[in-house]
Amino acid sequence: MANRTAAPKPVSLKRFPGLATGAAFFFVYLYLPILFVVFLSFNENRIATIWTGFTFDWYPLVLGNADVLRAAQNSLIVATFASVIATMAATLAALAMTQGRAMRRQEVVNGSLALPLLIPEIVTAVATLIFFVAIGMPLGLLTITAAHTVFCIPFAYLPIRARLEGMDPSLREAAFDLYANERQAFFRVTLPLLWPGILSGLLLAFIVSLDNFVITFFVSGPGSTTLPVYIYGMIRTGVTPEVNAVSALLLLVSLVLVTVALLLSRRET
Amino acid sequence: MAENIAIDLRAVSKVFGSGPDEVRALDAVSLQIRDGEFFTLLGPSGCGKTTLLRLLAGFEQPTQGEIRLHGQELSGLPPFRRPVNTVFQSYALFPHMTVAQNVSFGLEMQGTSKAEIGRRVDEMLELVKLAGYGRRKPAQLSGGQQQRVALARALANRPKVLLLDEPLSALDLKLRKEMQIELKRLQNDTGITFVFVTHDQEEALTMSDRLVVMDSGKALQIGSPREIYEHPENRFVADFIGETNLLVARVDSADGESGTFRLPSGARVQGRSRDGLSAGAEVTLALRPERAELSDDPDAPLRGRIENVVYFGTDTLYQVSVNEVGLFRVRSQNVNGGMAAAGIGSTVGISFAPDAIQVLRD
Ligand SMILES: Nc1ncnc2c1ncn2[C@@H]1O[C@H](COP(=O)(O)OP(=O)(O)O)[C@@H](O)[C@H]1O
Ligand SMILES: [Mg+2]
Repeated sequence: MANRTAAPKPVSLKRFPGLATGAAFFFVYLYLPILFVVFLSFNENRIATIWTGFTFDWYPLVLGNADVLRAAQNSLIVATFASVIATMAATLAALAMTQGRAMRRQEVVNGSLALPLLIPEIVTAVATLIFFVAIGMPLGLLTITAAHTVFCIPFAYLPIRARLEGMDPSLREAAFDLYANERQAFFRVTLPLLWPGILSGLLLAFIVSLDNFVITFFVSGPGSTTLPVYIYGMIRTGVTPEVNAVSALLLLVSLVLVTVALLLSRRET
Repeated sequence: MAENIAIDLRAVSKVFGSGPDEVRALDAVSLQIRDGEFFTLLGPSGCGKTTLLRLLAGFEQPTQGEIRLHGQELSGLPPFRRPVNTVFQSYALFPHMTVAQNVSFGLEMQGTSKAEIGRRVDEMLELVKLAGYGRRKPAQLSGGQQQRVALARALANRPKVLLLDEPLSALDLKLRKEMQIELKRLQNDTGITFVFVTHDQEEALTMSDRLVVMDSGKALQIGSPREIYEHPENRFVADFIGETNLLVARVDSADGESGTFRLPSGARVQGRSRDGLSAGAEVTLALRPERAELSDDPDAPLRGRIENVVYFGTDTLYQVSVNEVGLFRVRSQNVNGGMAAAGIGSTVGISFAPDAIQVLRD
């Protein structure tokens, strides 16, 4: 009698032969090269691929390199401006989508906001470059920031919109019911509840901007080199432990930011 | 008497969408809610109760008709300018604020002084028996406690009218009964007009001063619980509220007060009549099971065979199969130790007093 009421057992994925091996292979495939770079950044030998012993020396060396620092500074300036502007635009778009009257065109707007994620980056890069040249804008930090702002918007939009959609619409109505006008309802109720989503969108946009290479490479000018572009320049003279160290640092920053963004977007209301 | 009317709805309609997607959520609803009464909107899911409440709160605007609050026309007035507060079905407590901050929100928005806010918040938490809970966050409270916070938050503003959308539907039975009593007490203590929404007929009967029964966007009948239960005007109301037996009959003779009706069995019965009945017309009669009784009288208007006997503790239900009528239900009080008056299979008569018969309009 007991098994009549027992819930049917869910199909266990573990039963498929070879699945665990496949998954393990996939993870190794995905992360081994990255781990390798981090590992080699501690290599004492000047020739990056020949391991002779452990050292921390490359890190102070890299952090004392004026060119690296300038590139890092450029990256931070661009990422800060681009992610802040993109996040503001994304927040407004998400608010308009969930609280405005544009409900009918939801799919179209969502689609067109997500489309840039699917357009080949090289196409966007070439198009952006042609655009700047056509309007006669000199290439530099300004053009990089403008280009970054554009591709950052969909990344900032996704977590903000997810947050808004998970929000009980009657909260806003409750604010109105309790004598708050539009502005008060927004600043006292909607914004505080949306805040984790906005922060998480901001961090994602920041990382995407920080790590971008292709578009930046096309629209940067002399003196406006960002860190990924600088690393590319370094690597043309051979893979050195410095390159590995800079890469490892960039990876560390990105990982920290992604983790914070994830934690924020998961946080309960 | 106009000053006694809190809410006056005049032929209010609300249509959502257009073309093939058009939904008429409210269809020419006219009703008046008196100042200080506990008024209930009762009806099945989708009949337009929430829509009516949202029109009163100002979240929606009527497509047609007008709504007056103490004589003031409400149309065009945004929710934050209406002296009306809502207890939402989901409670809608602000999760990022403490209980005290939730309760003080409305007062703050109205620019009440700090000292007065502090005093009023304490008073409200006291009123809903949550004194000492001010610093908690809503997530740290049980469902019943959140419900009380929602009440305190709305009542703190001393609204002219309090709107409650199925506030008890998320609570379990025991808590629900407690909160029913609690709500009645709050309404008595504050004297505020309550407009209460429920789809539970028992809740509506026990709590309301008056109620409206709604179906498909229409207000079918308005009255006190007693009027609605004892004198349902149409088939929907008779069926939706409590149990009822429906009998098809022909009018023999009728004046405004009473009439004689001929049942399919040929028997003639007396009953309360209503205006506009002419001899020969076909009507539906409603008869509550507890107003009918089993009888040995060979001249009883209905006769049938007992199909089933169900013991309910306080009363016993007899299901009697009557020719030309179908299954007829009779409930009798168990005053003599609950021994069944007749067993399954026996043939019995069914009789009733003339004022137990109610003529329906459709
Ligand atoms: N915003 C809306 N848009 C379209 N249809 C709606 C909307 N709100 C309610 N309705 C429709 O109006 C009818 C009445 O709904 P509602 O007032 O919520 O009923 P109840 O609260 O009695 O269950 C339903 O058919 C519902 O689908
Ligand atoms: Mg409803």
